[in-house]
Amino acid sequence: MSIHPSILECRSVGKVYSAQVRGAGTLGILRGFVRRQVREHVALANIDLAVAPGEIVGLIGANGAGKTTLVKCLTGIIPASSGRCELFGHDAFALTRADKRRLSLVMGQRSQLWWDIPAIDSFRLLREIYQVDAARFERRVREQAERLDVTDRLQVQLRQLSLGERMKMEIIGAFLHDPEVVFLDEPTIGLDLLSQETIRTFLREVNRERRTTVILTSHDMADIEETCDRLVILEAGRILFDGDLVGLRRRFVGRRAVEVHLEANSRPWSAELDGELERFGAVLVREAPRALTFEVDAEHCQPFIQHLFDLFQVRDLAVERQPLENLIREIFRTGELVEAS
Amino acid sequence: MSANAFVQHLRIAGQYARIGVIRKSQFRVEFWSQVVMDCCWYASHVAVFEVLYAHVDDIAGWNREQFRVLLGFLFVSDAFMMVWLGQMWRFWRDLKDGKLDSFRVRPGATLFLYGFQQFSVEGCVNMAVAMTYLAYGIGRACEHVTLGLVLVTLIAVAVSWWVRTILVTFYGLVDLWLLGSDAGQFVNEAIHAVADRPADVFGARVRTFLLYILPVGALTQVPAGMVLGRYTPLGAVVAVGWLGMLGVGMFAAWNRGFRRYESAMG
Amino acid sequence: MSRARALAASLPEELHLLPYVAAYEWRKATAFRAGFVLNALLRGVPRPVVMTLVYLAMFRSTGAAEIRGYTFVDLVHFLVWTAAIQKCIPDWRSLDLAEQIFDGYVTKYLVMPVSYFTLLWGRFLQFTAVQLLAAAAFWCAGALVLHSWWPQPVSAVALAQAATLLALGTGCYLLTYFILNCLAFWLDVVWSLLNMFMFVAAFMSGMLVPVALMPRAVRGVLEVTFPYWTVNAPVELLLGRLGPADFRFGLAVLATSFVALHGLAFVTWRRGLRRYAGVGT
Repeated sequence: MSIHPSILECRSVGKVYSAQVRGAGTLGILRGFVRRQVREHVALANIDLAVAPGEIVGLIGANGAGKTTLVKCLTGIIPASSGRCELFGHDAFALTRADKRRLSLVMGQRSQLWWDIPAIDSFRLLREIYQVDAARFERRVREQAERLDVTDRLQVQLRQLSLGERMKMEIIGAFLHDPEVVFLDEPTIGLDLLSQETIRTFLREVNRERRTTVILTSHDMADIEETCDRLVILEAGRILFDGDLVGLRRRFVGRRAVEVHLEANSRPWSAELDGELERFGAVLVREAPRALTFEVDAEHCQPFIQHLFDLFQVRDLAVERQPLENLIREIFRTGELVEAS
Repeated sequence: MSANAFVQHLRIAGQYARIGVIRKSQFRVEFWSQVVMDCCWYASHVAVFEVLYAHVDDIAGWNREQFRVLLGFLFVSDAFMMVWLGQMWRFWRDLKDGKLDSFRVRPGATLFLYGFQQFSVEGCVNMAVAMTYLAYGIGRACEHVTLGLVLVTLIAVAVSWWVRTILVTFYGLVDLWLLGSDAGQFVNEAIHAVADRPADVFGARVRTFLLYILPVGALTQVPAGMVLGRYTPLGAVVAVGWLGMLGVGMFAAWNRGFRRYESAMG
Repeated sequence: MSRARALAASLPEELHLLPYVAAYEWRKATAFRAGFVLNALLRGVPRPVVMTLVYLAMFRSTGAAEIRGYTFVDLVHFLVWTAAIQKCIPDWRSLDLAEQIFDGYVTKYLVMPVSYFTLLWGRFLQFTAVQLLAAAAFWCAGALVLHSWWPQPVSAVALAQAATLLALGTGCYLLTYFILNCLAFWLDVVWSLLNMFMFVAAFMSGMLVPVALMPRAVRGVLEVTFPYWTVNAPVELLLGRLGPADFRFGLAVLATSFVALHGLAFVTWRRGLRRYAGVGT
């Protein structure tokens, strides 16, 4: 439990969308026009969440799990259908202008800068909106552009920048006014590895230097592993896991992932080999045509590997501590609601 | 709104104007085609009423000269829409597409930040054309052009801009309430059908409604009436004060209506 | 020659697709019920209502029984027919091709085994079918409420002639919007061109004021354009002010315009596609 007061808090938050459903066939279309069938879709259900200042929280989940909806409720874009969302101690949907100066939002799939003009001109507009004084503005732009390696691209029309450069500009814009809380909705989507790494480093540095609270949604586990202290896993609008990454790893500390690459002439995996796994308490977690990944307790790892050499023609083999991706897959697989650590 | 917030919004408007100029310097065809488009719109209105006045001297108490003043205010308020409020034409679609998210989290009036973002340089040219037509109309309708008349005209122009903003807010509100219905477009058509004729063609009750409740008629008839001396000074002050309050109420209603904004599901 | 043969061979398939495209467009159009009701049923009604009052004020002002051969009742009938006909005419929002070109969405049509023109005419079919119903509903509602005031077609022949001109004319409108939309392949913006056409065409067609009230020289020019024969002339046929000879002339003007516009649309589309980059925002 955090000793700090929360900078944002959700109490039993729910969000329900109404979606129109069309009947089948021509008659269904006409009937639907006269009498609409509406189906309610629960995007969020009973969400309880508290985030302390300076935390970096990773929000993950499958498509439609409710990540973006939660971010929209927390930033006051849309009201929650039930419960209460608070940011800076105020109702998130009724934030004052002073509150809004303390937050920022970056949406990976939707540019917030002006498409037809150079980014620097958009920044000047943001400067007026957030009332940043001129000297601080110039310094911030220069520093951040240097960190993100886009200094020479500031004067280029946004439409003429690459996806990675555009996202870096979005991030500069988001951090111009030195916000206390930044929400990033899939900021690395579609970016190359180098750009992703630059952005992650930037987020870590800003968090360390200014204690900026960061809420990050992503499908990329590397974003979460390299950036976040805390992980929140959403599924079907519920929180499936909320805790720190160290705690999550500790739950699986005694497990190892064994990845085996097979020679072309090796026997393939088949169901009759299940019995061979049971002897070691191992589980097959991923199967590809010439590659298998198993999970096994650390104490059985060595004999299990020896046995694998007996079973298959092994071309290559790697042993790792359980990667985060597997841990999350395990949580999703069991559907287990994990206590916050 | 505090003085500080007002100044902040003025500065933001300045930046929007700057961005508009930068954008338009890159798209010359767009510049000229929009200028010509609005001139076509002005021409079609002038042509219709020149045709009608070729057959009569008076329509609902407005002679040809007075009618030009009324049309002049229609053009001036429309040019204001083109200069500052062009983004509102796309409101219904942006609403459906959930494109108001970023404006919602900014520290400013959402309606202002969204609605005023598309400053149009070509609209300024159209404003010059509209102002010229209005000046021509006033010159023909009024015997003596005095300093007082110029001042009243300037106030009347501000009134027509203010009423235009109220009406644009109103059809944004319709879109918010009938979310994604595209109903604002129909309301816009209805507003234009009424605004480019004198409200005096309607019966007394409808006229009062159109001038002071849903102030479509006030877009043209109130400012034209002020310039043509159809209002007493006190009457003009009361009308302007009422329209001012009506606008504030409309903006408040718009902010409440925003609770219906669903963004895009995600 | 081989291209013409290929086109002819694919025609049955394209015709078979047409009703499906129309059904798809119907679903899109009715996705938002309030918008559909307002735009399909009430679109084009406010202006005639207001103009009725303007004409009333004009007649009160002059005290005359008629203006250029039109009594007040004639003008009201003119407005009623204009409102009904206007419902059947596509407007610039009937086609969002320019935006699809800007946004790079045309790509999806290019990889479909169907001509884009089939999609275009499918949309036209859906629009016309729905709007014809809307126009009929409007006319029936008026006839029920304002029986003696409401205009009736002078004859079944006149009705058929007006419908023929309207069908060809609406096709001309759609093709013009299509051509203007296609300019998006070359220009950064076309909405102002579309609006420009709409303003000019509204005046030329008699939607704003009957062409008969305009000066003789203007009328002479307008009588060789398709907007006039799409709106004003069908209304005058229904009112019994034009006869069979006028109909034949109008038919010729519209048929010529339709063929010329179709050719131009085809050429603009083909040339535009060569410039299409398939990318957008």
